[in-house]
Amino acid sequence: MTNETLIEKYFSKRLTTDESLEFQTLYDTNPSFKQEVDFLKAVKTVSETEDDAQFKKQLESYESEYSKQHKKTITKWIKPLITAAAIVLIVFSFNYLMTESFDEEKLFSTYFEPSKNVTSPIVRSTDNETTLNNAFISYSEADYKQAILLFKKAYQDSENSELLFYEANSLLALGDYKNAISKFEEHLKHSDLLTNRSHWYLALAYLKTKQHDKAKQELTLLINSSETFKKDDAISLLKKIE
Amino acid sequence: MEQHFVDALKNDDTKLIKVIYGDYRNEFIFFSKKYNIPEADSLDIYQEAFLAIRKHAISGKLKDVSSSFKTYLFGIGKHLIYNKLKEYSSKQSYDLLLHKVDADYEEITVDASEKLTKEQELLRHYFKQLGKSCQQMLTLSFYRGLTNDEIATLEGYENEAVVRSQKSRCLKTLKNLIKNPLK
Repeated sequence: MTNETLIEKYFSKRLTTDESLEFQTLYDTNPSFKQEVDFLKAVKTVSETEDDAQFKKQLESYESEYSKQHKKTITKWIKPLITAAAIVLIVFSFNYLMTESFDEEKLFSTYFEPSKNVTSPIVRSTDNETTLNNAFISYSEADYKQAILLFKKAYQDSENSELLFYEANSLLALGDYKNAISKFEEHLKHSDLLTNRSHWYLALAYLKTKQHDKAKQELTLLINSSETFKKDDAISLLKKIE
Repeated sequence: MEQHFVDALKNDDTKLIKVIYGDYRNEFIFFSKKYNIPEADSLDIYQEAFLAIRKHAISGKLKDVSSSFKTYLFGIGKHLIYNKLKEYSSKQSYDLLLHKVDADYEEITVDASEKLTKEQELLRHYFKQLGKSCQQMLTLSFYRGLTNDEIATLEGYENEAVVRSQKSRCLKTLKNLIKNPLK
């Protein structure tokens, strides 16, 4: 049995009595084996700590939902008061509301979802260890930081301009609006199957950064193009921000 | 014990976990009030108890437990409440009789989690720099103790060889990060 298999069985607690003995002998007599096992034991401890921390966060998120609900119930009695105040506010700020009656944050989160991979189907196999394949694996797993690095490299290698589109999408998903905007603009300089789709995402990035005129311009460009992707959404979004 | 609850904790079934968490939350706050635990502390304790029962589910400790999930959860909670009372008592005197309030739930002791050593803290720092998929791969392999075959099935890899190569790549990346930290 290889040392690798022995180690795998050790961590999955499946060593037979004989294998346990073999493992222990190796551990006591082979310094490099011992070093590797000790390292992996530390990885085990660390991944457990990290896993616990993630789970704790998950539980805390439930609690924040409960506290929101709690707030809702205790503030029930002031609802009529708020309604009255809101009416007064609406009357006084009618003109302002006419021009600024939408919430960029909300619109962005309603309309934005990172583009699907329509360029290169993922192949999970040892035979396909290319940067491009790995980039799309990271992208599909929402590991956008890693995806950005890999898309950059894959673009350098292949100069396939569609990759700029996915890199920009990753930046947008991470909330790096400034760099997402410049990456989409860079993509728009190229002409490929996804070029017109960049107008949609660029419009969302502009909207999020309160550059309304530019957002409208991008939406209009998309609507007037031959691209059918997100056309209906673009029309409805444009109505909302006009 | 309800096997589907144990499976939910083991397999990160977030939907069901949220339901279970909500089902016993208020009752636990009420339960800890009997020990004069303030609500803010009792929520912390409830979460700790939940974390502990999940660890027991993952490690396989719940396999032979015959009590219900709730009894076990509250048993752990009771243990943590006692610890909290001891903590309070170091600050001010408290009524020892509080220890005898509720006989419905048998106390279940849990190991206090050990603090990471300095080296482990450093390793954790680099571990967090790995991509999500690598973190998941190493967690499943070493903490959860899944075999390569099991990981392939769970995560949809083509076969165990793909898992093996992905795992070795993740470990290599981690070792490289330690040798050449990102600036």
